[in-house]
Amino acid sequence: MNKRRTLIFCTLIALVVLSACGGTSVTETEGDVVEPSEVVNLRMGVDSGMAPPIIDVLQAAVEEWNAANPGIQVILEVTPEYWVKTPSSFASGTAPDIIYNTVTETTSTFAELGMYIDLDDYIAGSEGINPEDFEPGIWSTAVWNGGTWVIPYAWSDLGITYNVDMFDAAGLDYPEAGWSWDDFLTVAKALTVDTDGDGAIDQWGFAMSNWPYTGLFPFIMSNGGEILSADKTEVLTDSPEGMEAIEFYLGLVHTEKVAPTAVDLGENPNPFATGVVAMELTRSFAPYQYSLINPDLNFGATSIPMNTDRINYFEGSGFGINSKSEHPDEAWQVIEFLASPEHQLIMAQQQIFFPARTATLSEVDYTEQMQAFLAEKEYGCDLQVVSQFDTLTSHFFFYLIGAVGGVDPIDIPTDFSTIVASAEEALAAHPIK
Amino acid sequence: MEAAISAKKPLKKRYGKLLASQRRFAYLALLIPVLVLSTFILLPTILAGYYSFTSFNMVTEPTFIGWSNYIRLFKDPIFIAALCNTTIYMVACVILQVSIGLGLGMVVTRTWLKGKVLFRTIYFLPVVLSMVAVAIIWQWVFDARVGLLNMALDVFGVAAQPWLKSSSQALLAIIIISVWKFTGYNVVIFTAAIQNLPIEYYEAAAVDGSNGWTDFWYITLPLIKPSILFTTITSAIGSFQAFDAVYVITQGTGGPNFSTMTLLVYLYKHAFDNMKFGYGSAVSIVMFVILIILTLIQLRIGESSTARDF
Repeated sequence: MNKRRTLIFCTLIALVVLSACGGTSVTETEGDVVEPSEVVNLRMGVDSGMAPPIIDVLQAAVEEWNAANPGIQVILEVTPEYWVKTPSSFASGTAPDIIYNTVTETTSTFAELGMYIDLDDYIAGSEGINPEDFEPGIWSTAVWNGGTWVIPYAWSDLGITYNVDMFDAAGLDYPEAGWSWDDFLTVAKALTVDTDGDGAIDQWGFAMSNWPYTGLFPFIMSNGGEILSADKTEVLTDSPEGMEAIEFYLGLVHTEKVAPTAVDLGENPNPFATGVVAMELTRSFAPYQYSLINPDLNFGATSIPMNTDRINYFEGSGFGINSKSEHPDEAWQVIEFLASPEHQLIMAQQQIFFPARTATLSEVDYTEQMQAFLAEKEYGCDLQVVSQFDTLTSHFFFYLIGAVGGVDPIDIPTDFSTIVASAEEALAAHPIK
Repeated sequence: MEAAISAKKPLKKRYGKLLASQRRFAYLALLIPVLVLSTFILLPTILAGYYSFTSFNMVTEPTFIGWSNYIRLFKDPIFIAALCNTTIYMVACVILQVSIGLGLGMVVTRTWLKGKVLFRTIYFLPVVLSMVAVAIIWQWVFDARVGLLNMALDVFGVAAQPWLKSSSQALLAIIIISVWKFTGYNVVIFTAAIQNLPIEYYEAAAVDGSNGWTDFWYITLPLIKPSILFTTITSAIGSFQAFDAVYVITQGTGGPNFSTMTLLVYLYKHAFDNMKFGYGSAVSIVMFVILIILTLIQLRIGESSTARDF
């Protein structure tokens, strides 16, 4: 009996130990991982948060590539929690060969971690990839610290979308590109109304954003202010121009009351698409998002209102090569294919993102709204690529969560002196290259 | 006969062999949980302690930086805010969960109450629900525009409250969610404790003319002190590690002006969003030390209280 019990427990212990010795799981993604053989098998990772039509386009591209290149087979891995899983999978040596990235913020982050191969040598020897064929503002966001880390794939810029029906009901002219802060405020006031006569405002002129890139920063820059010094060591948002812009922007909800407070909005995730606000500052892929929420929304698009400067900036995506990939040359071939004029056109025809190749822009018959966003391209710039959200943007973002809510009182000079100080402390601890 | 007797081993030797066999069995039985605890708790704790003295992003090798993480931690106003929020949250949750749990436990054990099983089920149901689901539901209950709570307040003529959108009310909202979710667990503990109390004490007290309140204060409460100590410790440890509700409701931002930022959300933000595992490990070590101290204090209070009673 004792021997039997001993044997049972030894067996249990062995099972526990052996179960922990299983093979390394690659990623929790769709699709199977194929073992390498004489065929080179590559994995391409993308964020599951990408617009489904773009994922479909990439999947179709992968299938087209695989059919034409039996010696190099690609698997598209659509990964949830992509921005957390990709660095951790890189650390364990299981990241995909081709890594997708959003060029504005995370390319430099991944490059600094050593996740990417510098593509300059590949670009120099490539017949298909010439930096001059790409939008300059987009290409510059792929360059960091002397290297080129991704090949740009798609981009978006900013603009104001406005509800055409609300403008018609108020008898207002539609805003024209290049309009001023004063025009913007006048229109926002006229569109902040009690539509049902119950004494409570139920339609507001403008929707605030707690994301600095689609709220605070454009207003600072359109007033001639800057975010960072040229050497990226000083935060310049507290300049006179910056503070004036901050007062104007936050005043929309706190003093002018043309924007709904967090109490007015509740948990409404998209007040513009749901017809609660007349205007919002958003990115050029917003029309696609509106179509999902409210396909009947009648809206137009125009430029960001300016006080002194007409501005815009780009955000986009690109593909880079995992520095631990065993097949970087083959991965480069796939990236060349994705960045080819033919594939760029297929992606652009989805009317969600603009293609990184300049020539492809003129080959697509864009909607009126997309054309309005595209027209602002010439005012666009690279918003000073920052290394990691933590060093700069987060300081403004967390403040704006409360400030744009309009519920708690704010003291702008004091608040922003604190933000600038903490951001510069973070920059000193983690300099941006 | 004599040969048979001499062939039998001495009693002491047979007993010793049996004891050794049982000892072997006991060690074998303990081996699996020890292995599991070592792998998933002890080893990660030791590693966290090591990483807390390094700059480590999980991709490149850790770099030793001494006490820098801890110094930076206590200079960060957001960490201080998280520490204060977590402390307030823990104290409030412990007081409310234990007192309400005890109160409901007393009610549920009344002999005159019909449907005891139904009540116990209702109180325990929130405990078994997923915290993520609970947080999402309560997020809508607290919705400033269409939430049930503001609708109810409107019936009594009270103006709509911002709740989760206000830095002065958001933490209160999270506390309400936590109390609603976890009090049922304490109800079950107290119900079991109260039901197991010897009825003779109450009969004897009744002879001396004691009433309900006297029974509770002088008989029930002292006798269920171990259960009170247990629920206090578990409520404190559980609420100190508040994460799910805050993360779901605030998307990890900690709410307006960090009013609902807790230590675990702060840790997650830095360790996983910002990939600062060394810094996150320092936060985890600080939490570990605080919890150990709290638990020891509570145990000490419980021990001295029990010693006084005897």
